[in-house]
Amino acid sequence: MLLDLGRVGDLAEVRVNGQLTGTLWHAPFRIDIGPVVKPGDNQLDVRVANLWVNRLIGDMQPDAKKVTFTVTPTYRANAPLRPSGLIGPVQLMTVQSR
Amino acid sequence: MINMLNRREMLLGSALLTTGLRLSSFSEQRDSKRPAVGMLRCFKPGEIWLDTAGKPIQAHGASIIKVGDLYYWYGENKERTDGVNGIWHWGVRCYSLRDLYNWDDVGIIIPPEPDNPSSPLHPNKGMDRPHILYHAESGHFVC
Repeated sequence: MLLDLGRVGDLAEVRVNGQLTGTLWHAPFRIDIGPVVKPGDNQLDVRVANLWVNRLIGDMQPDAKKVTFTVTPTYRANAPLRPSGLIGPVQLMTVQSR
Repeated sequence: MINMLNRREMLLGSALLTTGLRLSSFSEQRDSKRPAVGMLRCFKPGEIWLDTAGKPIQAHGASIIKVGDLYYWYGENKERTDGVNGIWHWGVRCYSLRDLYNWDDVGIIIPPEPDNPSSPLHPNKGMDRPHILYHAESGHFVC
């Protein structure tokens, strides 16, 4: 059984029934959860972390209370924000076993 | 300088070639001990990430290139750096990965030159964030 998270910005930890099953950090954001799921109810836990790009842009806003520090300037205040979080679509797919 | 570049090119080329050969025999031993690809694929940000031999990965300021089916991940080898002794790097170490999770150490592909204080590859010099390109026409890797 495959769990496909679709689009993720930028890294996701997948836990099934409390057990860390995968750290997905590149496309396709897909993991075989077959070995860890059980019949009946299962708990799926997806935690997503993004890069600090949006935080850096946020810190460049005129009224920002800065929380980051860089030795050289990085992003301008009007730089486009980076899509972040669990964007999806999230799908469960079953595959035929041979 | 030209001589040095050529030498480094050759070192790189041969190191990566050797890697490809070594891997095919290595994979059989490894696969029996490891979960199948796609089963357990985890690393923990903030914790030390180990290579397939159980050693901390030494490829700081890293980059990745893909050649054929294999990814190569390389960067500064900091195994002798302690923040006090003035050693910035101990050459460039390279790993090969098929799945971007399991790192096979393929060794130091650009060795440091500790006996030559004027060499840019001397461990006290700031060799930093190396970049390697594959030159398809000549088959060389260029750093």
